[in-house]
Amino acid sequence: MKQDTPSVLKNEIDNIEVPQDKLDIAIQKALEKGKKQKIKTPKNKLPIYLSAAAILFFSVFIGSAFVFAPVGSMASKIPYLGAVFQSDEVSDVIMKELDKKGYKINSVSVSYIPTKEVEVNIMGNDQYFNAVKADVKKDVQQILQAKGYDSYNIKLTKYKELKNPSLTEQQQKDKQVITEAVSEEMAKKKYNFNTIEVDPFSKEVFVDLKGDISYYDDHKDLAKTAVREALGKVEHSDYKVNITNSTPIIIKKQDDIGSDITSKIGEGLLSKKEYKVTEVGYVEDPLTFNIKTSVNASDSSSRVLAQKIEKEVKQLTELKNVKEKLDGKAYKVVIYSKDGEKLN
Amino acid sequence: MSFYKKAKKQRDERAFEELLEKEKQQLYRIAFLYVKNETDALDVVQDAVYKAFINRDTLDKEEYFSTWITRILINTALNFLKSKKKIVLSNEIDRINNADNEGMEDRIDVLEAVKRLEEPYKTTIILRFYKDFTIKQIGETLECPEGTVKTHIHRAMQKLKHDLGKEYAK
Repeated sequence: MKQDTPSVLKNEIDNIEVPQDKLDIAIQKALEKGKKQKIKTPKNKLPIYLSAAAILFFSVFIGSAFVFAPVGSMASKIPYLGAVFQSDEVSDVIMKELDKKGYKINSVSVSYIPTKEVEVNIMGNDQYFNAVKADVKKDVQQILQAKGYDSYNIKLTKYKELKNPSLTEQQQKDKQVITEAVSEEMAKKKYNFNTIEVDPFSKEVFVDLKGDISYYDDHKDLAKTAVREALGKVEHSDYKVNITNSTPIIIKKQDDIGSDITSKIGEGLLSKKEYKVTEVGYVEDPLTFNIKTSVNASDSSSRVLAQKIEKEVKQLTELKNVKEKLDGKAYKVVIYSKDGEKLN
Repeated sequence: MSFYKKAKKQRDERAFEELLEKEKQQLYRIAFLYVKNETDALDVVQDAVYKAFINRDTLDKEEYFSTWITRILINTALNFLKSKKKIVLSNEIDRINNADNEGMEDRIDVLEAVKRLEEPYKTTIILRFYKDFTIKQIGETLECPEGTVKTHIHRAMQKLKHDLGKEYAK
């Protein structure tokens, strides 16, 4: 008997030749097109808010006065989570401080999974990066210390610019000529559109109609004809015409209190080692905050920890502005052990 | 765009690109198994990557990225074939006829046999033996019970063995 079929199959498939360059261009195009779109709001609820995207980021601007205010004095007056709630999110605090010092920072992001980490993405060349990284790291350390956050690693990365497949001169010219001709024609016919994109690589024109789906249905064929006409006039009839309607439907939740409060509970509990919290999530209806810790249910201290966390959350929800948001809505706090057992 | 959104977006996008980098070759190869030519395979990959990218928020956990994007790719490939069916059909018949004339048995290999499998057998075989999906994952992808998946695999293997002759049979 020869090799069995499955492993032969695997080898055979792996032997299919991949046109690397073309594949990279195709992917690049897909990503570029994707980046122009707004991210769709997931339809289903996210039961675990933090783990959903595996990463959670915080950023809001804040006066820096609070940054270095001693946490101790603060904490004595209001509960810990309350203080977090009233301050700005840590990544914004860091960004603002670094900005103020004149560093060229692209972004600051805070992630909790798989490790708790503050990532600072620095712009500029290698030389600049190497010159400032030690100082930036020190500054970030100071800010975290001032806030009493002790659970983060600090990671510094260099901003990488996406390389674009470059157009030849002829392609650039074609692109321009076609874009002008198409937009002229569309304007003449008084069709509403968002964008006109010309892709000289795949020889395609994308026209995104503006308006709702019924406008799109009524006008897509007309628009296609118009674009074809325009292409004919400039002798580029070989281009394929795509009429799209991607007017983003932005579903904005009006009063998603769960998410508001959860992000604060998240930052507060995840930023201090003493709470041993690994994930924070919420379910909208009935409003439930799910908090996962790294302790074993059998640990004698696990119940005490759960009580402490529960108390923090309770105190937070009794703050005036949080209370207003909740507007009398009942909620539950469920604290889990490492292996998912309820601790409270 | 607020700061928060910008930072999150950039981080997300980078993570997506890194994960994609590891998958791209396999994605292309699977697409090729369906559409059987380079141009269409590239189109399918491009379309699938775009769909995956704009829906990346629906992915629960990073470790599911591979299975998740493979599902998107296969659906894209199948839709592509559906939309092209009318045009492709006659070419396809030609191709098969020609292949017959040239003495198929001589040049047949596993790959050709897989390419000639019909749905859902092709998808089942690719997912099971190339992507190492579990029976359960295949069931979820094809939206059918696990028992049915097992039957599909069994039948597909029989077809393959039949096509490939005794040489490969266990």
